[in-house]
Amino acid sequence: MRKLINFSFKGALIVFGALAVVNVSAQDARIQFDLLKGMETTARDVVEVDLDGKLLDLAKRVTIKVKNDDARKVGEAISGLKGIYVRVYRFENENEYNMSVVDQLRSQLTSPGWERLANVRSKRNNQKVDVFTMFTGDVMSGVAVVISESKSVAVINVIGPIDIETLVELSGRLNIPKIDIDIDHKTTKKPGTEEE
Amino acid sequence: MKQDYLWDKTGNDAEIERLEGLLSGFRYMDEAPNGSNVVEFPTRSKRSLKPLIFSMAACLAVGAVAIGIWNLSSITGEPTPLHVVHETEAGPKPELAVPVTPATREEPTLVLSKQAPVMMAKKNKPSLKQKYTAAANKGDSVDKPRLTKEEKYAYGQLMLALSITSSKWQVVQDSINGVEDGRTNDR
Repeated sequence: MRKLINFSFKGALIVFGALAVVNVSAQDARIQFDLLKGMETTARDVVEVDLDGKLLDLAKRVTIKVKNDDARKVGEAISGLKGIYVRVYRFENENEYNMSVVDQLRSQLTSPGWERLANVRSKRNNQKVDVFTMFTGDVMSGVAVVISESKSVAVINVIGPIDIETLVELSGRLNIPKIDIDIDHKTTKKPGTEEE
Repeated sequence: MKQDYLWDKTGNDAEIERLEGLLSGFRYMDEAPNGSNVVEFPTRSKRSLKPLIFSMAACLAVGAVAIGIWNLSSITGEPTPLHVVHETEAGPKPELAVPVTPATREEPTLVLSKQAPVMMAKKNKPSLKQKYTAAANKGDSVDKPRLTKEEKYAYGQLMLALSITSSKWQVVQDSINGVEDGRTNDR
């Protein structure tokens, strides 16, 4: 009897541990953007997008609802997507933001699980480009792109597998025009503040 | 058969004869009218069928036009003016999910009154040209689903995020290619 209890306890412990690892892995791919707080007040142009959970499900459903080949391809490319978070800040003058804040954010991505895929440094515009990926088994569970220049910062965090190449191919053909934040200075607004 | 005097003047009846004698002074003495004074009514000629044929043709034409318009409305899905009246009276107009085009803006729902709805609807009945234009416009928006405000917001956010992601991914690729080529990124 004691052996049976002991065996059951160990089994439960293993299952719980496995679930915890999966849960932590899913959560670890999320970058904490708290460090970037305050930038939106000084930046000239701000884009902040947090899309996950039910809102993301709703958006995915629309890609199916819209009877359009490109929308269908987008829907397929993001079928495994669990969340996407975007922060883009563009400033009026050079070095108007604290570069160390972005470096702290990069240091988050040196934690176990993340792998640096690309690291580009250019003296032109003081450009720093970093791409990090996280894998759970063979499946990509997260991507992080951090691009900082003397007048802008862009951080993109994707949770779950996503076919970026297809999206690049489709960019400009989506229902909204291609957005190059370096040329067009778009800002997002919450639904309540939108002008209808 | 009766054989009395009153019936066929056979036999004798003193009383009747006496009365005839008394009344003979009042006998009509003029000549009988000749035929020239008689006004003859024109005989009814053979009735012409032309008006009947014209009226039947007109009825058929009106019926054909009505059926044609009804069919056009059912094919395009555009409500007929009469339907619009009932929809207007039935309840509030549903929320527009697609952008309002000039064609939809001309819908008669905005001007219909409850007092004389049918007359107003007929007055605002669009011409066939307008109907075809509206049908063509509808054809453009066939692929546009009716989305709720939340769906539109979510889809817009997704597209925004994906556009920025793809754009920045392009920046990454350009940067990497720039380094590999040994030249600075001109972007």
